[in-house]
Amino acid sequence: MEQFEGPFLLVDPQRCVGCHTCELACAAAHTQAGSIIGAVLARERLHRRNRVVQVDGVKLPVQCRQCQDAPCVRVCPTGATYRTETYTAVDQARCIGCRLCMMVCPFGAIHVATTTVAGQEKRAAFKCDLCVDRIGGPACVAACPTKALSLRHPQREADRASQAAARQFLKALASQPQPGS
Amino acid sequence: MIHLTVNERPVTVPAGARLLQAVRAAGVALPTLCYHEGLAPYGACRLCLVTLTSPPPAKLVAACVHPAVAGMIVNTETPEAVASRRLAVELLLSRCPQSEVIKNLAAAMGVRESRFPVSPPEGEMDLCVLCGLCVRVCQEAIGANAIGFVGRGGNRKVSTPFELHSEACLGCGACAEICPTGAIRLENRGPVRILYTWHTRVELHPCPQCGRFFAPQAMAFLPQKFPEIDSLWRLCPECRQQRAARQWVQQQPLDRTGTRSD
Ligand code: SF4
Ligand code: SF4
Ligand code: SF4
Ligand code: FES
Repeated sequence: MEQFEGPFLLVDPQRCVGCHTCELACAAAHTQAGSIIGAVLARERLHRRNRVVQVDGVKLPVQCRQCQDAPCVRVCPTGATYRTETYTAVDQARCIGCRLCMMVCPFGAIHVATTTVAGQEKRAAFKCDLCVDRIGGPACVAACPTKALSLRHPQREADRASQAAARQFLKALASQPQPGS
Repeated sequence: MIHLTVNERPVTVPAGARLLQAVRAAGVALPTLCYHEGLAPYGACRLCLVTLTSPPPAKLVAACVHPAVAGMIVNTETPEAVASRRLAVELLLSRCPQSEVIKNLAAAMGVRESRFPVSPPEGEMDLCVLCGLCVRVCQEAIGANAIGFVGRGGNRKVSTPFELHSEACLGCGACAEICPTGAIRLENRGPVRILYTWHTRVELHPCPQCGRFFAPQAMAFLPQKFPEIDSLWRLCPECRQQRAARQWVQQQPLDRTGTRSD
């Protein structure tokens, strides 16, 4: 799957039991309070960036796939949606609520909802940011009771694989009779 | 990086920043209405007036547009600055006395009512404060140029050319979202999105899967620019999620072989 070059969330549908814990963890991780109860008490809005859906009797969470050449980033007229080397995210202060990102995301991973930015209410785009601000990485991965979610680093894994291959190649070379000797 | 002083506090802002960023960096509250981080600064509402003490002579400037320069000394609480901001909000209040947003802004600045005669714009746009955010978002960000200012003086208002149905409008709704006072009325009514304020109706396509009306016809150009949504641009986000989930399940056996345990 060459489109996933940066880190992304791998979902194992065979492990997912559809308990929605990842959704709650996602919503909680993006509040000031850091927990559902705390956020409710502080009257903070709760927004999950992922959604557990059911297809053909199987349940699994869907969220942003962290596209390399992300259409949501290309379409955004204000630069609110941006990509770093390792993730895509939305700067809600810049968002104008035009929904173009929602229109072009092939996976339905963006929605626009009411939020509070710098004390002012506005509507802005929401998407998974791989919990970049959370120590310990994605909250959904940490919360899933069946370990159906994992954060994958194809680049790193590819490197490791190619390193291993390179080592093997060198070994094979060394054991071969040297030409011309 | 630029070092300057706001209310006697030293602050540092990146090059190219405006005074507003410096004020915010200092943790000082300053009202704004016509400012939006995603658009170029405009300086129309005058709610963000501050005193620029140094370089002398001291003068009032709109913090959202005035560039931050090293060594500047800014004061948000001089009597002149406070009085000017109150005057600005009083004028807004006399234009839109029924706007909750303006009333709250004014109250926060200690202004209960306007000393000026109430001169609300008639009809549709009674909540419009002429901040220009909708015009700017449509022009600068969306590039559709569907709306603009018409008329002069007291008759100045925002509308479509000749106040008729706009062919240029994409129906994205960014204008309605960005309007700070909620002056722009937009409604989805079955197969049409009606932008009452702009005398415009935009046709919506039903989602081929669930039938929900979703994609504005005027956005039919998107799949040409974004080939990845070629076959699915009419699908609503929920049905795209379903589709993504189905793909994922089908791809799993492939993934599994490549899955490393680390
Ligand atoms: S939000 Fe959608 S388009 Fe943007 S990176 Fe994520 S999956 Fe790709
Ligand atoms: S809704 Fe916000 S993030 Fe999405 S394209 Fe528009 S401005 Fe950018
Ligand atoms: S990585 Fe974080 S933002 Fe993304 S779905 Fe998981 S919890 Fe939500
Ligand atoms: S916010 Fe600065 S003039 Fe309106």
